[in-house]
Parts: sequence; structure tokens; C-alpha cells
Amino acid sequence: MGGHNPGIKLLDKDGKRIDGRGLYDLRPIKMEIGVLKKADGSAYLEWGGNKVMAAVYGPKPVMPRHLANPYKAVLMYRYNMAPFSVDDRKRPGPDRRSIEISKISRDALERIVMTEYFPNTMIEIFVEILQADAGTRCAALTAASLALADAGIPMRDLVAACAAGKIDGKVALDLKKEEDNYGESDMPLAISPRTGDILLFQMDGLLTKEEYLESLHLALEGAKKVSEMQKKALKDKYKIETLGGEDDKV
Amino acid sequence: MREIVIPGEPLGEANQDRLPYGVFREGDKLYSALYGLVEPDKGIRITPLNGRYLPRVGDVVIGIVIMARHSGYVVDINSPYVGHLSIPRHSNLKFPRLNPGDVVTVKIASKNEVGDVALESPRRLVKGKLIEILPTKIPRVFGKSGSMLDLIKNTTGVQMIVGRNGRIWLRGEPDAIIKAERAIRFIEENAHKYGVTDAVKKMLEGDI
Repeated sequence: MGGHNPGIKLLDKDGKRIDGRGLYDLRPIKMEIGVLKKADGSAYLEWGGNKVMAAVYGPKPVMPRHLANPYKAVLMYRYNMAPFSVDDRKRPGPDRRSIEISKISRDALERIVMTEYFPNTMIEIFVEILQADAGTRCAALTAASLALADAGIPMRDLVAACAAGKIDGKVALDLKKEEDNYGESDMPLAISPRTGDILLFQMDGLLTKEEYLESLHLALEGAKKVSEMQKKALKDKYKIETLGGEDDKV
Repeated sequence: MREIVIPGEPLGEANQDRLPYGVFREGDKLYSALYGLVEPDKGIRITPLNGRYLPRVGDVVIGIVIMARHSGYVVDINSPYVGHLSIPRHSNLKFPRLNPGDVVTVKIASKNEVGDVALESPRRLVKGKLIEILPTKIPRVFGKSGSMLDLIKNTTGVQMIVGRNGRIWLRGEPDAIIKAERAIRFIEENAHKYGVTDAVKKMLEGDI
């Protein structure tokens, strides 16, 4: 998509991709929870070449006051790309694209965050893209949901996200930058893994009906794998052990 | 045995009407809404690992006066909601005269569903040191029927007031305060583990 393909082969004759992955492989993912001291909850995520930092503040009093909702908490989501996150310097500040991503990501999270627990408050989520390599909205949402869990905010589920797309005529999982730029289609998807509900779904480029269904199922499977990694990261953060002596109970 | 639960994790069948904080029902199954600890053999209750303080009637908290109004004071109680401490119009009790920045212990008198919190029985705290920890770790600072708190108080000789909102006020000798604070930070960091009381005991007695 995006532009015209200057003769880059995205698949070699063995069907391997430019970074050596198969069509249905995810890039390596690393998750860290509770990395920022001053935030109520935070997470750092590395997803292939993407590096994403998420911070959650709140629930806290609503600013500006007129936005307060007496029935539920107000959710705020800021997706922001650092100027140095892409090859050509990005002009700092929100633009058309990041405002859109912030909006759809907030809508996705509003489905799972139990905002009714905290009327007249606001929960702020900041996601900073430090390095971008395609699939940042998925990486951002995945990190944001870990940060929300770390902040102790009640949620119906975690959010896991993953993209699929089409490169050189084949449907593939988790596109990287070159594949996104010179491939034929990209389809980011976020789900609630417990129920299988789709929380975010977009598509760019052209797909036939069969390709569309294959891509959708591939992205769903990818998101489920991401969800397993999220669960493991959360479970491994705290180690329940006995300090020296006998057990004592709370 | 303690286990870590994450949001959306199944907790079993629903056979109760009132659900504790952080547990929700979908169909006939219960799920956790929080990242926290459960002890399955002790029933369904989640101890969150993190989270802001939510006011509960009857709690004693430590507040910081934000401003004075004609009828009372606005008090920060380390919560998403601010507290309102009004001066009773007829009272035999002496009501302290407060200024912004003053530290007070107050009791939550009432709260409603939109987050208006009324406070009562203020007592001004003078001298000493105020520290803040995660409100979710406060039960561990108290220990079983106050055993941990007694341990710290008795071994260090520090006067302590523990607010449910995560603020702890310490008063005593500077060295003793440092020691008590170190013990509290240790409890906060290791609250999810077993054997904290013994470790704290060792830590406090070792330094004497």
C-alpha cells in the first residue's frame, strides 16, 4: 500500500519474509510492567522494531471540570509518536493520524475498563511510540492494557492486538515496515481474548472476500498469542515466596 | 496459598449475590476485574496489588487541608475524590482552626455515589513525618489484629498513625523514624510474600 513498489521482493522463493519469518509468525515481543516510578501504572513493550512506553494516571479528579461524568469515569488516551521514532523526522505533536488512533483506541478500552466504578473521575493513558516499525497502534493498545492492569484499574479483560495483511499476493501475520509500505493490505485488530469480542478493527488496501476472512482469522490467532504473552508477563512480575521463616497470613 | 489473578481470569461459579470489589459476574461465572492476589481456600476476595484509595465510611485517613471555605475545609485525602470537612454550627467539642497545608487525621463521615465525601472528627498533626505508601498495602502495615504495627511501634519507639488512604504519620527520634520508615517500605515492597512479619522483626532487632 502507501505507494508503489520499487521492485522490492517481500517474499523469497522459499516463502520466507525479508526478516526470515514465515507467513504466520509474529515478531519477537518483550513486555515489561511497572517501569515508570511516578505513574500509577506503566508498561514497556518491544515488538520487533517497535518500542512503546505506556503510562496510566488515575482515577483522579477530572480536568477540565466540565468533562466530568457523574455516571462513570472519563477515559483519555493519547497516542503520540516521538519525532525520532521514524526515519524522516516526524513533526512533533498530534496530527490527523494520531488523533484518529487515540480515538479508536480509547473507544476500544472503554468497552473493557469498568468506568462505572469511578464516577466523576478521569483515567489518563499516555502511549509514547519511541521507535516505529509498523503495527504501532496494536503495540500501543497491548502496552496500554498492561499499564491499566498495573495501575489496579478494574477491567473486564485485557486487550490484545495484532495485525495481519497481504504481501506479494499472500496473506501474512504482523507486517513490518517494508511489508506495510510495499504490501497490498494491512488489517489491525484488537480483541478481548476471553469473550473473543472485537474492540478495534481497521483495514487498508484491497483484499478479496477469501483473503479478508483468512486475514481476519490470522489476526485473531495472532492476538490470542499476544494475549498469552501478556498473561505471562503479568503473572511473572510478582513472585510469591516465603521470606526466610514460617508462613504468616494477612 | 496465594495466587496472582489478572483481569478477566475466571474465579469459579457464582453462588453469592453480593460480590466483593474487583469481582464481576457474567452468566453464572465469576471473573476477576483486577490484577491482584487471591487465596482460593479463603473464599473469593481479591487483594489488589495497586490502586487508588476509595473512601469508605468509618475509615480513618490522613488528609492535607487544601483550602478553607466559609463553612469548613476542603481536604485532600489521597483519593480521586476530595473530602469536605464542615465546621458544626453547634458543638461542645473544640474544632481546630486549620490552614492550607495542615495535616489532619479525619474520619469519613459519609460519601455518596457521585463521589462527595464528608469528613468528621479532625485532629491536627503537628511535628513528625508524613510518608505515603500504596493504599492497597495498608492492611499489611497493620498486620493481623495490629500485630505488625505494634511490632514497629514497640521496637522503634515511634508514634504512628496509619491512615487507610496510604498516608502514615510518624513521630519520634529522627533515627527511630528512619528505621520505622525503612520497615514500612520493606512491608510495602514485599506485601505479596509470606513471612514478612518475621523478616521485619529480624530487620528491626538486628539494627539495635
